[in-house]
Amino acid sequence: MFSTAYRFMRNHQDAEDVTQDVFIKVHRKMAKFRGDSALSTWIYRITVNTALDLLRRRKRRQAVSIDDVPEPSAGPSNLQGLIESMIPSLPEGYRKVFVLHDIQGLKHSEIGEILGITEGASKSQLHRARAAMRRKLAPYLKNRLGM
Amino acid sequence: MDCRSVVAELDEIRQATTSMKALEPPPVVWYRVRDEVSRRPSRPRFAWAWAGAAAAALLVAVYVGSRLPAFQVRAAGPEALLSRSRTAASAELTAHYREYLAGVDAAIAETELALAENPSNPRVRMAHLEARAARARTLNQLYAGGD
Repeated sequence: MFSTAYRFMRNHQDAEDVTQDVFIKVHRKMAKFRGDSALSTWIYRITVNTALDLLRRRKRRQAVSIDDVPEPSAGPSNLQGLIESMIPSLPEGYRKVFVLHDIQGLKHSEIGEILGITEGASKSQLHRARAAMRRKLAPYLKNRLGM
Repeated sequence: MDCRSVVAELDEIRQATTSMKALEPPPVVWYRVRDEVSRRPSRPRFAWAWAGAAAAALLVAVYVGSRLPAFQVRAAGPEALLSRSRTAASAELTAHYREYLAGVDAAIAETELALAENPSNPRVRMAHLEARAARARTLNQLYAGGD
């Protein structure tokens, strides 16, 4: 939950706030949980919605442009850091699927349930998200792979 | 760019994302959640819900009250008035008055609770004042009825 929130918020304090909000919402709404989906799916849905609501409300997070890419340097942790910093610059639809699938490791069927989209739409969004991410990281990746 | 390099770049991104560590929130988040959950009642009571209930009770009271004809009795209090009214008016009229006063009293009780939770909310305060004014008007009507 905290990881998911952090990937969206890119800020520990905000991720903590989202985590707290989600726990309280889950506690309050538990009686309304009908068991139509897995509990984890339900909680993921609340987490994603809470994080995105907070982002929309604040509107203070500026999309990271390609110009903000740090100077390339060696090491996998650096690539991870770059990817994390690029996530907010992805369109919302791409971002949700990218975080849930590639980082959180959920299946397309689960993502479909969480986001209320079809599996096909989830796959399509992920394909586009990865392509967008690759374009943003192109300078770094070329250097890293020696291409 | 050839397909091989595209695939290599996408693989690089994929490896980086799948190896991202799960993050844990600091312990303070759990303390905050615990405090928040224990502070909130299991059935949340919102100011507007109280204000709405009070307004509804008041509307019922006013509606019932508007159907009451002039009353030709004079006594020390509403109960005494209502008791004496049995001899002066029909049982149906007495029942209307009882219903009306019960509605007003319920509105007063609801708005008092709402005020205790939201003492500075102007709409709750107004609802409370209106409920009290409705009661005063009824009593005045009862006292003045014989003059």
